[in-house]
Amino acid sequence: MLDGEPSSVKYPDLHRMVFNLPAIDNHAHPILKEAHRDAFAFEGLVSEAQGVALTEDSVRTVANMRATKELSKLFGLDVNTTWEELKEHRNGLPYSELTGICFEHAKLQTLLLDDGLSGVEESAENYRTHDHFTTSPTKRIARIEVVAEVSIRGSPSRDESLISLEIPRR
Amino acid sequence: MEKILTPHLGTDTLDVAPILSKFHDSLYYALEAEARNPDVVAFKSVVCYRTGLDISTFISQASLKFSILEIFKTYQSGEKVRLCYKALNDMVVQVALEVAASHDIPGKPHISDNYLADLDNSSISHWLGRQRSDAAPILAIADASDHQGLPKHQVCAAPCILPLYPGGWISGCHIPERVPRPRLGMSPDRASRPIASDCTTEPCLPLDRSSPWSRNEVKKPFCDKCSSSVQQIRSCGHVRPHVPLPRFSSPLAARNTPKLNQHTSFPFY
Repeated sequence: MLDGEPSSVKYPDLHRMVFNLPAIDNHAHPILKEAHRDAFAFEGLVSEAQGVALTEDSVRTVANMRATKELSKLFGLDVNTTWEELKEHRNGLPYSELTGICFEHAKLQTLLLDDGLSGVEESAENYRTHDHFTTSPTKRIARIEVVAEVSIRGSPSRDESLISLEIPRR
Repeated sequence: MEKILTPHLGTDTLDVAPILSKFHDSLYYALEAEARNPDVVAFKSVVCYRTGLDISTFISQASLKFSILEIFKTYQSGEKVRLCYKALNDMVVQVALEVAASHDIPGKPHISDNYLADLDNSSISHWLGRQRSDAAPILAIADASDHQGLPKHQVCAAPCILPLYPGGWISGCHIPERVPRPRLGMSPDRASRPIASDCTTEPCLPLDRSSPWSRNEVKKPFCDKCSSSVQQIRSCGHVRPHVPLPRFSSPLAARNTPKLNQHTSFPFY
């Protein structure tokens, strides 16, 4: 449910608070740059599977069905929209518009952003870029292993890292 | 460090003490710089991916030197060096928490799906328990997006951190009933406004009995008064009737387990 109808809910005050109170995402990672918007299969939204299991099998899961229903509503599509139609519509949206739609409905006050994931500098936006989508400026969470990595390497750049604690995210 | 390591390449000797000292100082000042950055609101560590919260605060110099030697060997062979040596990782966390405490920003161990090891007297939870109550808070991250279906880690994180550390704050997890509620009320960032947490007041979620952690955990003392284990606590009589007990997954329990919404939000002031 994205927001529901306040008149139909059992506890309208609670409903109003849950769906309208601006939230702080206290564990966010940066959004992808536009050039990398298709770097990851969109099915990763609903499954941690990989390969064919992700792109072909996960689309038949309950989680995917629910995502299709909710995303159709988010994008203003018909309730009977299929997953493929949904992806096609999403791919056709300008990236800034797509990002704006998602952030707008999330009602985020601000982000606490961990930008220490490997590959972030190449494929993801700078943390300040996110200020356009939130009410308050984005704040950073410094990943100490990345700071240690830079200390050992002796260079402020994160490129060509010699040391990494990075483990693929689950 | 590269400058220090390079002269030793191709030799059989390595004086690790200055390398270690240089690394410590470099790390400390780098973290200090991050902490002074007004945009930085917290430190986060992913060390729990390797050792859970079994992070030693009594790090032997021998272990540290061994870690440096291993890095040196890897560096010498031209391979990518990984910060995967426990002593060095523990030192990085310890230095970071010291810097965090001096700047009053939270340190956030990212609770992963590594089971918590048996924590001994040198572990981080005991160390945190000795800290001043006004030291930097610890914010254990266990966000729902990472750990859906793995509630046992969130369950185990809360009793380990919160009772010992007044500044503790757990995100995205289900707090066991025995953890005092007021400790959930602080804002972990520097914002002047209250933060909306996605914590719920649900007690322990079903635990996966097939895991080694669960098998050990059910045998440990749970009741604060008579040290009954979770398995025995229903008959000890010390638990308030309305306090739900931890549930363990079984085909039967699974049918009786209510569906929990991990995104239920409650504001804490």
